This record gives sequence, structure tokens and C-alpha cells, in this order.
Amino acid sequence: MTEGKMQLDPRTKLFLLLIANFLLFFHLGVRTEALFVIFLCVLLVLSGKSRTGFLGAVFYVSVLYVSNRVMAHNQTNFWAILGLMITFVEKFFPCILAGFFAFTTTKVSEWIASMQKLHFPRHIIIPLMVLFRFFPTVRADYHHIRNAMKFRGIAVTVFDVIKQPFLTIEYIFVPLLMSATNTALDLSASSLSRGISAPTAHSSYTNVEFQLQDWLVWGSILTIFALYGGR
Amino acid sequence: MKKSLKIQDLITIGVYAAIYFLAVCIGTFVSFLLLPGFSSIFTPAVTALVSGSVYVLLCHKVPKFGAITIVGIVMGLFFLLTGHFAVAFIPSIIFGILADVIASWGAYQSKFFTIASFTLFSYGLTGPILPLWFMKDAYVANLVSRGKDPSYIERLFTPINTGSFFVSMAATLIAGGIGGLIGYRIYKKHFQPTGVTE
Repeated sequence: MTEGKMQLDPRTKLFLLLIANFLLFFHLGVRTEALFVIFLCVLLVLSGKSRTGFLGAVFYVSVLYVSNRVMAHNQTNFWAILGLMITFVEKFFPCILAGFFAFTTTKVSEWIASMQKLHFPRHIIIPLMVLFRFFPTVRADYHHIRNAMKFRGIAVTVFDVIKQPFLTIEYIFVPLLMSATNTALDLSASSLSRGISAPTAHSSYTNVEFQLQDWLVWGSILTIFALYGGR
Repeated sequence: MKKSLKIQDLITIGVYAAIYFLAVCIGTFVSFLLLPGFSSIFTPAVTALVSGSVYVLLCHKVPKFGAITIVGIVMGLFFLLTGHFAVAFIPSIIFGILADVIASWGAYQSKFFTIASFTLFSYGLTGPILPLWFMKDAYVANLVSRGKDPSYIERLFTPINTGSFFVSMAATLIAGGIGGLIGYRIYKKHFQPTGVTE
């Protein structure tokens, strides 16, 4: 299925996401952040996203360079605003990269399987599963509705939307909600007949397990923090 | 009205959460057009304006305690997995629970309580604004590490921050009320007569 590409456990990806968030709140210094970003880029390349991996690394290094130059100036109004913006990008980049990594390299079924392993309650898993699966349909529906509206000359330009905002809202959301109501009914019927309400533990087609590479990722992240965590 | 959530309810919640998420996307897009760069200030307000009908319909469809809370939690998780930072998660859950409590006072039927709870729920999206505050700290830390004096920066950013905070909060409050009313009007016009909520 994914020959030659590294597959990480979703829980490891969640861990990476949490680390990225942690870095956002506790200023552990540029060195730790840079190491983490480079590490993420390597992971991206190994997981078959080499383009994003390389581009991400290049982008991050150039941001660091610009940030250094901007910060070296006296912080008058203009440079302060610029400095704030570049700090913004610099700080958020690990988060965005980790999110991209987690989201693009994981299938919905893998997320669900790992959430079951983490003992999330069913009340959370089922709606989240539906959200993941159903959102593409909603987006497609939305585009169909917009096309139909344009075809009839309703709210074609931004100006029209501003002129008639409430009508636009009504035209978009009423058909969406109408069809969603039916979809919800259909989905319930089909998943109930497949035994979603069975009280026993559910088996899963997708299997998630910690493998050697997962331990390596956890190990290297913890090593980075142990070595450079205190700045 | 004390009923627990069944599987059908959970699926319905997921479906409405997906539409609510579309509303969030529209809200983000529109507020980006309005104010590029600092668009996250108005995202909750614009989304509130747009998403009222989704919320009102959900309240009537699943009039049980927990439904709104779950939408809040699921939205938070979705934000987290798509690379938004983890703190966006916390307001999403807290305001979800509060909104649920208020809507339950009106048994999920009362117009007043539903709109009030919708307004509160809209504050759940304020999570992505939070960086405006702690980013200043990151910036100051960045300056200090280069041996510069940050007091000037404090003076420059404090009015911007507190100002944007109040503008955002007030805009969300007003938009929540208006959005709720629009939602109700759409509900009365289209969904109640057809009996979708039976």
C-alpha cells in the first residue's frame, strides 16, 4: 500500500502536534525550535512528502534569517510591526508543519483506530468520524449550490453578497441543511444495520501499533529536549 | 426531556458539526476579505452571523443535554488535528458546555435561551485570537534575548491588544444575537412547516 514510505502511528503524530504547541507557549529558544522543524522536515521527506519537506526547511531557514535581520534594527514603529509579524510566522511555523504532517499522512480510519486505542468515549468518536467523512460532501454540496446560484444570477459577485447578505445565507444554508437532514437519517440507518450500536468492543480493519520508527521519533524528540530544553 | 444521546443523535450531531465547520470556513474567508492579516479578530463574529440556522436546527433536532457540548469538543479536536494550536481547543469546549447549560434552561425550545446560548457558543471560536496576546510575549522574549529594551514595545502594543480584544468581543456579542435571530427566521420559514424536526 505504502511501499518505501515510513508509516508512523497516529499517536506519535499527535505527540508531535502537542510538542509543536508546547514550543509555541514556552519559549525554549531558537535552537530547540529549529531542531524540531528540521526533524519534522526529515519526517516529511521519509513519509513521501519530500517536496513539502524541502520547501518547509528552506522557508524556515529564510524566515530565521529575515527575523535576525529585522530584530537587529532599532525597534521603531515600522520595524516593531514587521518584527511582530515575522515572530508570528516563526513561532507558528512548527505548528502548521506538524499539522500538515499529521493531517496529510494519516487516513481517517487510522485516526479512528488510534482514538479507540486511546479509549476516547464513543460520544466523541462517532460525531468526529461523521465530521471527517461528511465534510468533503458538504464542501461539494456547497460548490454545487454556489454554481446553481450563479447560474440563476443570484449573489454572483462579492458586491451582490454584501447587498443581500441575509438572502445569501438563506439560499446557501437551507438546501444544505435540508439535504443534511436526510443524509443523517441514511447514515444512521446504514451504520446501525452494520452494528455500530453493538455493546461489545469493535474490531478494526485498520491496525495501529507502535513500531520501531515510533520509538525512534519519541526518543529523538525527548533527546532534543533533554539536551537543549534549558535553552 | 432527560434523555441520553442515542447513536442516531450522535450521527446527526456529526452531520451538523460538518455544516457548522463549513460556516466557520466561510466566516474565516469573509473576515479575511474584510481585514487581511488580523482576520482572526472577526472570524467568530462573521461565523456567528452565518451559522445561526445550523445551531437552531440542531437544538430542535437533538434537544438533549450534551449535543452542543459534543459539537464544541469535536470542533476543538478538528482544529487540533488540522494544525491549529491546542489552546483553540479550550474555549471551544468551555463555551460549548456553557452554551449547552443555557440552552437546557429553555429546554432547547425557548427562542430567548437558544439565541443566548448560540451567542455564547460563538465565543468558542475566539481561540485563534489568543495568539495576539501571547505573541507579544514571544516578541518581547525575542528582543530580550538580543539584549534590547522591551519597554517601548509594551507601550506600543498594549492599546492595540486591549482595543482589538474589546472590538472582537463586542462584535461577537452583536453578531451572535443577529445571527441567532436570522437562524430563527430561517427555521420558522423553512424547517418548522415541513416538520423536519419531528
